[in-house]
Amino acid sequence: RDIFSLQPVSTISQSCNTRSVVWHPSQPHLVSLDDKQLTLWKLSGPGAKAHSSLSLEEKGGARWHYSALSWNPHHNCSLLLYSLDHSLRCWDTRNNKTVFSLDQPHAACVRGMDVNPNKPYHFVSCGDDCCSKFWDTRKLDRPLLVREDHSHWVWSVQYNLFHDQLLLSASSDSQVVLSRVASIASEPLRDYEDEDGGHHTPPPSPQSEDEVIQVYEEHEDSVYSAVWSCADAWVFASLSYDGRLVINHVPTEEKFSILTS
Amino acid sequence: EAGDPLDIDRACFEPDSYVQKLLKDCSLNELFRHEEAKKKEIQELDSNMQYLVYENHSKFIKASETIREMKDDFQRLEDDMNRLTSCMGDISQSSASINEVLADRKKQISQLCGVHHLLKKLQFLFELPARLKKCIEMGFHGQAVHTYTKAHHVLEQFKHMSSFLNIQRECVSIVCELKSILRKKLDDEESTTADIAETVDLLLELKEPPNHLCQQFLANARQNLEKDLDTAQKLQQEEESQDVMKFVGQLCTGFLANLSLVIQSCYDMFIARTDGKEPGMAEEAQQVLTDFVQSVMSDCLQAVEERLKKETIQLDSAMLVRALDKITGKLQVIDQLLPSAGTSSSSQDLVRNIALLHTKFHIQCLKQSFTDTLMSVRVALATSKSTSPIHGLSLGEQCTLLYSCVKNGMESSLNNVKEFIKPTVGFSLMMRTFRVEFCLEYVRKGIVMDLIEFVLDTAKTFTEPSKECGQLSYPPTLILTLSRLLHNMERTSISYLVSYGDEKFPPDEHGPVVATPTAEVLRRAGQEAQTLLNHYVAVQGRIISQMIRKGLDARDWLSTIEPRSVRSVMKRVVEEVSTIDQQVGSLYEEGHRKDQGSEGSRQTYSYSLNQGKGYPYSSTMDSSLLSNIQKLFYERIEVFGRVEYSKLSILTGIIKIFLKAFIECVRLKTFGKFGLQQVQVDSHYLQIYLWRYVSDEHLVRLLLEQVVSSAIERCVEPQLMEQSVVEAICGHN
Repeated sequence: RDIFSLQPVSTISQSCNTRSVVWHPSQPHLVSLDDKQLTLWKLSGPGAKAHSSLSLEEKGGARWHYSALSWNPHHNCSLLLYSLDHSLRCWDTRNNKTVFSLDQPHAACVRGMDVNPNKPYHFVSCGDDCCSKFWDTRKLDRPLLVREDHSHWVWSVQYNLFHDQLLLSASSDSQVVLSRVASIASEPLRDYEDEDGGHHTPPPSPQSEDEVIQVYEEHEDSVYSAVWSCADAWVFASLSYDGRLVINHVPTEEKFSILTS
Repeated sequence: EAGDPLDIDRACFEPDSYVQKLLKDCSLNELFRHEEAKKKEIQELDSNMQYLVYENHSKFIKASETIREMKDDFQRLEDDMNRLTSCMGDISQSSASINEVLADRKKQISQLCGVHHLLKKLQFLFELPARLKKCIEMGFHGQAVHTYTKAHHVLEQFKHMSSFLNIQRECVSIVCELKSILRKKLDDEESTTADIAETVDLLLELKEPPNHLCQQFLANARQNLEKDLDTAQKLQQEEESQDVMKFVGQLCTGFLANLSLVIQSCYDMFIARTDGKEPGMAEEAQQVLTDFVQSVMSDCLQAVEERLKKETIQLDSAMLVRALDKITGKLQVIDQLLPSAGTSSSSQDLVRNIALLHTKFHIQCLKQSFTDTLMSVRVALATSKSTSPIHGLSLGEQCTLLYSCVKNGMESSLNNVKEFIKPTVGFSLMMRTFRVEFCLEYVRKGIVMDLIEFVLDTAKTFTEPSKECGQLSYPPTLILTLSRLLHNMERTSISYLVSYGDEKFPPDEHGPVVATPTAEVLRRAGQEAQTLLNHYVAVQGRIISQMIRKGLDARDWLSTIEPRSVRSVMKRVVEEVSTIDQQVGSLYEEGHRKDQGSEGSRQTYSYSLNQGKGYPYSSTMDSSLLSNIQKLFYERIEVFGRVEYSKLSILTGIIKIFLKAFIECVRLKTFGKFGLQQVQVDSHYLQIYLWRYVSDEHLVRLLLEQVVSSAIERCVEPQLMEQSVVEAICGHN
């Protein structure tokens, strides 16, 4: 087969506008969000079967306009985060219930979410208040950390697929920001054991602070999406409104310091 | 040494060589003169010599005469001395003989005298019990005690004789009675201090252990003093007015005066007396007295402190200071009487506590009044949103209202509290460090700085954005007013308030306590002012962005009809901007605009000029290249950036925010031909009305161009309306 041509694998028919779609991390399932409901599809051959669905119709008929989806790869991939305008919710696909719901974590609209690939209960969300907020699903009254690295709405945020202290965020201020959130990463400061068996922490190295590693300003218009490569842990791509796709990589000092720590 | 042979005054003078020289050197006239001079000299010397000889001679003669006289006198003296010795010898002889004769008689007489004395003493002893009884009956306790003490030793000595023993026993029993009478007298409440002093003296003479006496005396004294304290307190509770000065006066005349009397008499009776005889006793007594005074004083001070605490919660300091002064004056007297009791340190503590409580009360009131004023301003601003600003106070006036609340409050507090360091106040002079401490710690830090920091903290609470993102419970104009207040504070007010405070309460620059620096507070005020201003801009921007977003979401842009008029949302946006402009204008000055030249607001969009009429671009390649080239020349606009303290800057910030939101929302929609044209009309309308509010109208134009170009890219069939038609539609409205 010609690898440069796209072949349709399956077709799913829909009744109303589909707004977002996301693949299951490991199996050939996908979730689609349209005007009325969230649906989990299991692909089988050329067609697909709707496995479970959650109705999104609000009381009072209020309509929402922006949405984003993010699958939680832990716990056997049963949880899905989705956002509708200003609220952020979590759907359990096993029993079809909304696990939690955050109202207005980011002013007017939540633009994107991502779940930490290494830590099962942490996720990050970004939105119209120009911040990225890090949450623990067990304790949602306040975010673990708030990062304000942008000067306008943040449209996408993603953890590095392997090293979750690296965070990539894209914003409509035309900047892509690569930052380090070591304080809540899965590999915090290591404790060294003495001969006596006591613990002492080494002096904080520069790698242990939360800070912006680099700001990429190659775009001249709003950047709407920045994603990590699945193949190489140090490469990422970003796309802006004027159609410019930029592929960048993590600065070498940062890469070596992570690999050698 | 070899002299000069020509020198007349020397021994080695040689006349020949001298004359030779003269003959050689001098002229004839000179020689004559020389000879005359020499003659004169010789005459003089002769006469001197004669005189001296004569003097010597006469002196010698005088000396010899005097010696002769002395010789005569000494002769006479010697004769007298001889006579004297012989007489003395005679006298001693005769006295010895007399003594011999009378020796016998003398012995007899002295014996008789001795017996007489002894008999007298015995008589005294035998009569002793009777006498003692009589004395006691008649009440002459003093006399009884004296008599007894006199006889005591002798009785002790001769106890072994039965008669003496009887006497002694009787005396002892009588004396015991006497002791009990005396002790009763001691306990008697009616006794005056003089009586008590006398009784104690007598008891001491009777060899009562002084520490028991001391303790009993002090126990009685304590009862009296407690009674004094109780009456003073009761009087306070009963009386209607509860005048603190009356309480203090009562206390001074009653309790404290009595206490000083007690200390004085105790000292006289027990400590001064036993000094020297038994030093250990004196120390013990001193200790007992000190303990007594300390415990009594602690009760008293507690009562005083309680009463004064009630007074500290008045704003007027004069009465409090007067009362405190009087009390500490009296306490000082007591301290001088008995320095070891540490009364002065407790009175200093009292002064400090009261001063602290009072200043704390003042700052509490000031904070409360500020909070109340802020609340009323907030309510006024919330309710005046609907009514026009003419009816209520303008924002500038609200701001001055807040500031004057702080300023006037602080001034009146400081004037009141100044009473504490008036030069006429006693404790201020006595406690040297108090004055400095008061000025720096209590007033400067406790009132002035604390109030300023409270204002800053209160303002800071309005910058917490996270909790109420959707609907704010307070009007945005409140944030604006607070930012102006803080800005003023940073620029002038804080330094004025601090210098006012320093004027009234001069800080000691060289002392150990350092004045809290104002630099930190100033920096903080500036920071908070900036944060508040940024927050205000963000909030207002967000409100208008919501309006625009809702307006965009409400319509189906693919199938809309041909635009006939500007959307009402845009009109509302412009109205809102003008209201904000008015509000901000009442607080901040205009700021300056960037000069645009003569182009003004009528300039059409650059892309339509470049690409001609009809279709704006023939291929997507050209337009993106062109727009990219355009973008190269413009700086990236920072939307939520720092805002300056001027009206234009603030409004520019707000407008930037909602125009950028407009761009982003447009990019999420899909437009039909007429949808695009509606967006074009709306943008032009905004262009016409918004340029006057911003400092750089180029900015507005750029953002609105981006709106339309984004809409073009999202359009299914992009076809722009004619510019003249657009202007006509906008002109209508």
